[in-house]
Amino acid sequence: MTAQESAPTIQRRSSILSRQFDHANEVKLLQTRPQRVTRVLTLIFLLVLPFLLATDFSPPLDFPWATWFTVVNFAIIASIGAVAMNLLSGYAGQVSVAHVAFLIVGSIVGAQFGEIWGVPFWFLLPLAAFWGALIGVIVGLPALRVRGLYLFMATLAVHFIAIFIFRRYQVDQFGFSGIVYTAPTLPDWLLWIPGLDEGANGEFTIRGNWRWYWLNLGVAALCIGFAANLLRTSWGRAFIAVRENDAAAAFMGVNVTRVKLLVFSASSGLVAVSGVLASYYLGARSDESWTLEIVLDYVTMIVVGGFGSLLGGVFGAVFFYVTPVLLSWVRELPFLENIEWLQEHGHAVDQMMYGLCVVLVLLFKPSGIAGMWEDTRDAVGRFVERRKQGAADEQ
Amino acid sequence: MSELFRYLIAGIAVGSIYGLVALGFVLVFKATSVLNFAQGEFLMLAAYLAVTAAVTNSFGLAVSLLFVVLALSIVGVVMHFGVTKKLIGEPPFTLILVTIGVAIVIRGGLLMFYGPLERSSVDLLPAGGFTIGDVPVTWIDVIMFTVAVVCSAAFFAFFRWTTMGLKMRATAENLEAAKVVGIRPGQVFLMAWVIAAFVAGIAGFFYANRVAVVSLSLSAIGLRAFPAAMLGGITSVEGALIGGIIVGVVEQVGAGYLGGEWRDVFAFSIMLLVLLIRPSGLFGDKELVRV
Repeated sequence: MTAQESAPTIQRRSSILSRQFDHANEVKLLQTRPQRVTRVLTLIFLLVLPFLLATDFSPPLDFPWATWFTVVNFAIIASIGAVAMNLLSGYAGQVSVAHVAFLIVGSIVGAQFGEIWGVPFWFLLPLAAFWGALIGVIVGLPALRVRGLYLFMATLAVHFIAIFIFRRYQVDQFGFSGIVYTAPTLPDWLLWIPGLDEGANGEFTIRGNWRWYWLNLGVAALCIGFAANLLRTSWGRAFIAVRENDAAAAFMGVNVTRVKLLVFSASSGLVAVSGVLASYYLGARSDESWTLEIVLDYVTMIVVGGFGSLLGGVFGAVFFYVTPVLLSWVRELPFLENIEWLQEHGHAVDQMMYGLCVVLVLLFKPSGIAGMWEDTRDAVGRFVERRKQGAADEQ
Repeated sequence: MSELFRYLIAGIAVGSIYGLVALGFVLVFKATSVLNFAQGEFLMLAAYLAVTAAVTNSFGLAVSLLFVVLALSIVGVVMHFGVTKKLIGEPPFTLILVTIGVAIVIRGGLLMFYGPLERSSVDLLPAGGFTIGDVPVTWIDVIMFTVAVVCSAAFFAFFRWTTMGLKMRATAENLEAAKVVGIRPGQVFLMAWVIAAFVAGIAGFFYANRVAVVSLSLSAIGLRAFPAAMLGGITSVEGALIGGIIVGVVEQVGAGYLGGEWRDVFAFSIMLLVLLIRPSGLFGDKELVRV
């Protein structure tokens, strides 16, 4: 199955994009010109997006413009977690559901260091990454002994134990109502930057979607960039070797123990960063916040987005947050508005449609949105190639 | 002492349900290697259908049970033909996610047709009970336990002595070899889904008699199938019930002495221990460690 599928792909790539398969090119972050063009366009889009969202533009058909800023911010934070999960499960093949456990690590780091010990927010991000990575090594230990389904089950146990620890911690330190996070402020020595209007108390507080957008985008770019670069190193290739067959990887000289622990700690560190970011963005967390559904949401993101593809993690996070908003918008379109039954069961219909979307994507495109993206890209590439060929033939 | 005894009785009763859920879970996994996250939703669907049959339409015990079990068997058929048949051989996460998608659809459907409010539970089984020493035992618990034992025994016998059971075991053992000797895997997968949904139907029907109210939080019980199945050995039909009962007893005793918040921790810690010490579980196949 795999051999049949992969063979034409290589052929297609080499014939259409005429790409050289030399090592130096293969380890580049951006290998081809279309890739560089797409990245630049994406960057421009991301920089322009908040300016568009900040306007009180009101599109036709009651398109929910105002809610989009929140959706985008959630999607950016979630994309860190989804990329980290894809790194661990998609690339290194370590199927782990201890995702919420590391979001909890981030939350507790934020609460203990930031709220109780008063460490500035900016130090919390590296601190969360450190603690996440450290605890990730411990959680990764069972991966040395069990794998596949058994690892999945072991990390499921970790999930419930982490929730229990969080509940204990929260009740001991903050009481039953949950942990409240104060909005982070920019350090004083950065206030000289023009365009920052500090508040009445002379502090620049990160509050509101506009300011959070830039913070989230910056952190996400760092995290995803880290993951993308990690995959370019020999470690990254070792991840894939371990996923495919860890005995064979060991035989080729890969230190499987170190690779497994490293990928666990890298992924967990990133998840913890997204955990502390989400805690501060939301402003409050309690033991009610943590459910197995969150892990399943992230599984949805990486599988619908594209399993074993960093881009897939980002696509999945966007899909996860955008689809419900779109569905509820479609439900209130003028011609559907009058169907009483539909409006009465609105929430249930949305939920069901979302579930159907997930199942349909998997049934018809198991490689997910990243797979669709690749298909589109290849189709465009083929089209361009054919045009070139045609032009050459005419001459 | 009587306190411990009371927790034990409660644990066995709850564990019987866990065992039944785990049984369906193990059957599907063994035959199709799909981790079915929708098993709890199957049970919840069965409980709601039991409410429809027994409370709304006031059918008798036999008719209601038949109705629920038939409806769930159809769900099993739909699961095979509509969803998983195309996806056999995909990566495990994809298969897990498809069952999660199905779980969301079932949940949404129930919310649509039954509304968000709780439904009163079914009371077709005899109420009351008896006491052993000073510990009360309800008839419902006794019936639950009996049903779980009978189901497990019946499926054990089915696998052991019928041709279909033999085919299913052969397919689980080695798919390629089973194909070579003329077994049609599609038939086996279909059978596994139908049986799993059927067991969920029975479990859901009786569970609807035991709970105080039937609500959308009922599906949480599906999660307990994991430790139960792991404990018994993920491929072991007879282990599922025993695993379920052990998980039930451990969590009831633990929660009884330390408080309700310890329930999850106990249920899943025992699973973690088993995984680290003996990954194949109490009755599982040894070589599956190397999956």
